[in-house]
Amino acid sequence: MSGICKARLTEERRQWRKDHPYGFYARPVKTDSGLDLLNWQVGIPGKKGTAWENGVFKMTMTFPEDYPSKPPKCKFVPALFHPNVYPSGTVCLSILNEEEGWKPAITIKQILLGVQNLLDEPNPDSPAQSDAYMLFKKDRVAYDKRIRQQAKENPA
Amino acid sequence: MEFQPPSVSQVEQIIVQLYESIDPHFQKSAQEYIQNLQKQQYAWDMAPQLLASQSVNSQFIGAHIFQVKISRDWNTLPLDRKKWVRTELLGWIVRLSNGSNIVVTKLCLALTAYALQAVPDIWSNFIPDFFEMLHSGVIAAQNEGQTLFFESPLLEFLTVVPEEVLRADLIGERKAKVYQELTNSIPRVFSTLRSLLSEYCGNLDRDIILKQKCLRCLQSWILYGVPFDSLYLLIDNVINLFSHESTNDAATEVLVEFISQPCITSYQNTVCEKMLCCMTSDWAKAQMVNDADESLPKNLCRLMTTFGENFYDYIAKHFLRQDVIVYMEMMLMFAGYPGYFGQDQEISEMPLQFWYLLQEPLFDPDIIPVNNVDNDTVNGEDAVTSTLHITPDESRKIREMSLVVFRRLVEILRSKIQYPPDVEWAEWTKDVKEQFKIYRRNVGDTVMNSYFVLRDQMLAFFVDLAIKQLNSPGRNPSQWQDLESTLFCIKSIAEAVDHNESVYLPRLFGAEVYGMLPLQGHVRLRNTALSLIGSYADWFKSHPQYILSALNYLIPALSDAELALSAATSFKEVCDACRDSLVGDIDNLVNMYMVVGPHIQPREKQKVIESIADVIQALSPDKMLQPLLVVTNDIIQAMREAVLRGKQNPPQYRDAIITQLEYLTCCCRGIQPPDEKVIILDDDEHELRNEGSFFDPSSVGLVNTLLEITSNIAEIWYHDSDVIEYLCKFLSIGIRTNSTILSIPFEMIVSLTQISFQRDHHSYWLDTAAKVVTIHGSNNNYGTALRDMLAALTSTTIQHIRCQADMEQYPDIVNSYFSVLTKYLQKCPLLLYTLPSDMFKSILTFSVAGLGSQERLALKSAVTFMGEFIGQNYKEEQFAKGVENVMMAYGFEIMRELLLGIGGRLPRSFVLSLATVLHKITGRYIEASREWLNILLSQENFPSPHVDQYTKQNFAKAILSTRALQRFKDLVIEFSIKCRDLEDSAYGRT
Repeated sequence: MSGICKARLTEERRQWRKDHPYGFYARPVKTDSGLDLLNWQVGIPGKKGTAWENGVFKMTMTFPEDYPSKPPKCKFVPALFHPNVYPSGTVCLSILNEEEGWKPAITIKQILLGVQNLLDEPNPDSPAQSDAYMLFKKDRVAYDKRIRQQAKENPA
Repeated sequence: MEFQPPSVSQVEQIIVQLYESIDPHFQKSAQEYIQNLQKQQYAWDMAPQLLASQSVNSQFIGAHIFQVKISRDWNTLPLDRKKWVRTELLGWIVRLSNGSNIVVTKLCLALTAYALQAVPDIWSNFIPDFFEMLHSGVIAAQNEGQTLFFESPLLEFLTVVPEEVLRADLIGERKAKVYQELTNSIPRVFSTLRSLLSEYCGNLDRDIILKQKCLRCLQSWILYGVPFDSLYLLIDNVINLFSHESTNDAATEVLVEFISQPCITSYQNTVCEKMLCCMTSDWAKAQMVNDADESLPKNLCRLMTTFGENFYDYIAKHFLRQDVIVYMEMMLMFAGYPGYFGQDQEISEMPLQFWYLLQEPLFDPDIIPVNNVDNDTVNGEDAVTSTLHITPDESRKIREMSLVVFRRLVEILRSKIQYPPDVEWAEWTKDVKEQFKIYRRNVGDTVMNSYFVLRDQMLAFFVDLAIKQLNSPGRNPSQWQDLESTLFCIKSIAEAVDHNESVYLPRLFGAEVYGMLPLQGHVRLRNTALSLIGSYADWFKSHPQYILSALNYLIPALSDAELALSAATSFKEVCDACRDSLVGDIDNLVNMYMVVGPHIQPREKQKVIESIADVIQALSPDKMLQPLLVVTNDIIQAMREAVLRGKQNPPQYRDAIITQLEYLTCCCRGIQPPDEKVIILDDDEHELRNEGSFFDPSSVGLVNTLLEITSNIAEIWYHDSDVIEYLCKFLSIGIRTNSTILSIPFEMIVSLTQISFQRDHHSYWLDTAAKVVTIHGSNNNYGTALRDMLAALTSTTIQHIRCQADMEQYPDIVNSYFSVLTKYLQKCPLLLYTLPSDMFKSILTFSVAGLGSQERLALKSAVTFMGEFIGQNYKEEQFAKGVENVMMAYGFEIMRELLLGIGGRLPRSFVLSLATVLHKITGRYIEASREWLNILLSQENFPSPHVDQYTKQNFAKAILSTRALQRFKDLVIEFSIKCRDLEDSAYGRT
């Protein structure tokens, strides 16, 4: 891990501990040889008043060696039913795309808040999975029902 | 449109309506009226007339109008009027300085807005000027026998200036001037503040207000940035005011800002001693138990926590000092602040972060030198010879002392996360309950971090505590809260505990604790106990002798609705991690399943089936079939029955068949080897192939049964997209297992897919086909069958999707079809060229049409396929020739679609992927590309009316001479922006 990457992730961790949004968690994975700063486990709560509420959705964040020049990869485990989540669980979001909106100044907190926003406000312009996208487009009632069910399966 | 100016009394009436009307409609129209008034030129004159009113509301609006006009309409004002505005504002500030505070503040805001506009041409040195003018105003008033409370406007102005300067987007010379003005004024401002802070003004109430204002002003300057020396002169005054109830709030804010400044670490020793003295004073200690006013302990806690978060290294180094010990004591008291968090108080969560930060330097050899080999180092870093002046004896004492402190901390934290008695809990609101749960999770994190300090001591403490709690004489049988909190703490540290731990965990999971846990009632306690087992799954792997008793505790809970979720989750974790140890007990597990299975709810049953299948996977191949037959037996029976009855009445049995299909899918997933050996089929993942699948001849019967059932399901519920979705999920997961026991053989699945897709065009069938190609595409023996499948799927798709409107209506089919094509390209591209030529042409025509689709999903998959198609890697000459022929025939059309998309027909988010495809074409076929570009771009208005010939020719020339992808993309983006006529807008480039 480069010095820049390590220093940044250490600082991110410190900042997160100091101040993080309500109901979220984020921590580096613990391994036998200490903390693995390149791999984080995070939890994103569904916003209140939306079909996602009462759920906490688990995601892994994998940081490349050249972070923060390159963005982390965010992947829901298990994969999420959501128009902008690939069948593998990887999140499709412009701020996480090196060629689109990623900027080295974006913090982990901003990423997680961005993903939380995405949950209830999918972007139909960049579909990543067909099932959720089709249901979202064609039958919002059934879509919301499915989302509520998913929130129930991922309790806080 | 200029209105006839209204009279002041008319405006005042509207203001009354704005403030006093209870009718929201009235209020709204009044608000709109005032907003409109502010836009008028005559508002400049209206403002002083309103300020002359007796009504505070009118005065406020008058000041507000000045502020708004100065900010928005500055440039419409001639120079002499600008000077008039300043005279007006200063005059009103003096005149109203004994009046309402909100009016004075508003006037100061307006004057600040004025200063920011007027510097440097019209008003340089505005701060000293303000002092002077205020001073002469006061003298003039005194001559008329009036005493003015001039400190009020003075402090207001000095407070809002730095705030507004920071908030304003100043640039260039003006920014430099304004900042210089502030910096030059610091000595004068601070000497004023110093005298006001240290003198008593002669009237108690007024003195309190004045001190509060001074503190606010000071805070504002700290945020702006002031040299440490100037600030430090005032700190004693602030500390003094901290210990007065009336000024405690404001002083806390100042001190918090003071110690949070980035530069403060350079003055660490001076600051820390002073702050410790303030925070550990007798007055401060007394506030910790101040029940009357929660804001005092809260302020103190906030200050002490901020201190700890900024100076944890200092605290670690001076751990043995008396004031630090007192500080630590107080922090422990805050961690254990009386009452339930969320319900009774909001204090005990504040210091959590501090303990986490403190734990790091205490075990950082760079800060506290390591002199014992048995001391743990953080993150495995080597001990470095310290440059600090800490003797080996001191560092030993520090470590001993830290054990004592953290030991007390975890005791306290344990007690804080204890649930209240049931009756009390029932009365809490939903929000408070949720807040409490999140607090518990945060405490859990702190407990885990403390484990790195305490290690075995912590396990010893909690396990002993659990035993003691269970055995306490006269224990109330309904009491569960204390034990639950202990187990919760043990669960919190699971991640950190060494898997080889063999002293305390055996006692926990043995007879002393788990053997004595209640089996009835106590839902919350049992839920925690159940998930605790799952969190130690890896430990069980190293201690297999404890697995069975843990499972015995888990299994009965599976059929209890309130516990089933945590029981099933833990069951899954244990079976998954410990599969190798459990193989010997497979018969017991299967028998257990036979007994409890029928009583488990579907969602949990899926987990249980998958867990048992996990263990079956670890058996040797020849032993797998038997237990699998037992587990699948009732699923298959239920399916047969649903099929039989479903023939007559499909809708009535659809739910039943879906449930059973899900069970079967879970079973299939379970018998897959863990992680590394599975084939991952997702779009954006690499594939790993596990060779060496095996075939168990005795599984023929099971496979035939499954084949019969799945064919029946596909036929009966062919129209029901949910059933087909679950059926395809099962088929797909079967394809990826290396065991043939639960998977439908290749030939059958291919023919089932073809027939079913023809029957009803569910995209799921295409997804299944894509998976078949992923796994078997490179197997030469299957070439013919795969080609036939492609032909069949293609003709069905193309017949079904005939035009753009169809693409928009069935984007899922288009998407899945392109995924199938893409898989063929990746796995067996030659098969595509063996299709009848008409069909091949149809595919190309279809793909070109896809590039023009407005439907995002269809479009995205078409672009991906096209990129893949053009970018194919081929070694054989003949193959390359074949692709080239295709491109010569279709390249022109493809390029036209790409340029149209870039030129504005498709959303901008697609431009990058279109550019990638274009890059591939121009790279491979440069001569042809030159010609196509030439023909296409010379057309009038192509691809957009906003680009002229010159721009287009330059674009073509530039992209044809650029091979670097990034540069190529930049060129395309630039061209796209021009085509969309978004040039020179900030919006254009984002």
